[in-house]
Amino acid sequence: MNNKYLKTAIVLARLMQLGYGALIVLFAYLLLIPALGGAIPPELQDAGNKFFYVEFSNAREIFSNTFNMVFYSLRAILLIVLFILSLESLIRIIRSVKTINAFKQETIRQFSRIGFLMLICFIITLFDMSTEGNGYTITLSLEIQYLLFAFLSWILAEVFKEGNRLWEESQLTI
Amino acid sequence: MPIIVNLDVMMAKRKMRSKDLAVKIGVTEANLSILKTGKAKAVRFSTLEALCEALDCQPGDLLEYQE
Repeated sequence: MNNKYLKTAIVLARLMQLGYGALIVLFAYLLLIPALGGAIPPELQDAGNKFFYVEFSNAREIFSNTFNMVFYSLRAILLIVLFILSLESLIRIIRSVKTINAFKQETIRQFSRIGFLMLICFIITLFDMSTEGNGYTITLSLEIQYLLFAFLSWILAEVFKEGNRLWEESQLTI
Repeated sequence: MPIIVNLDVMMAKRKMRSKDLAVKIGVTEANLSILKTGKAKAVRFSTLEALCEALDCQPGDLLEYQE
């Protein structure tokens, strides 16, 4: 199937993957390196007349100690890796639609995989851990959108499973 | 599945090869093989009609119900 929308979707998904890849580097540079003893990058220090400046909404909390910096950076990097993997699955699904192979077991597997990855995203973002002074604070935050995406993906996997059954039946009708 | 396809028996009786039958009824040899081996999930009336015509038999000669 030569559909320009599908081609555009694949290109956009690839660009998003590249963008997320760049974000991993940025998080490692801004949070992980300073946390492990490196200097605080100048991009974080003040807006001034700099061309590139990064501002975190809860910067005071994040930069208050090493634990917070490591926790936030590792969680962000893990989330981004999960997004990149989900986008890879999405690209495979779009490719299968393009080659008119959508109702195959592979597509069902990819939808289930996206659902599973989104569930992990939900679990990762469920707890916000930080420390100030002596104690640790754990805040519960429900990022329902990840759970919703997970459920949608699993529902789509079931729909495609039914489609696969019908497709196989039509293939075996002589 | 309790429905048995006796296509190979009929073909042997009529001394017809798979290749010739496939050409005669307008299906691929691969599909005919699926039908012969009992892997098919359904048979179209048009295919059954073509088979009966090519093998000069009745649908009951080709299909059998076994419990």
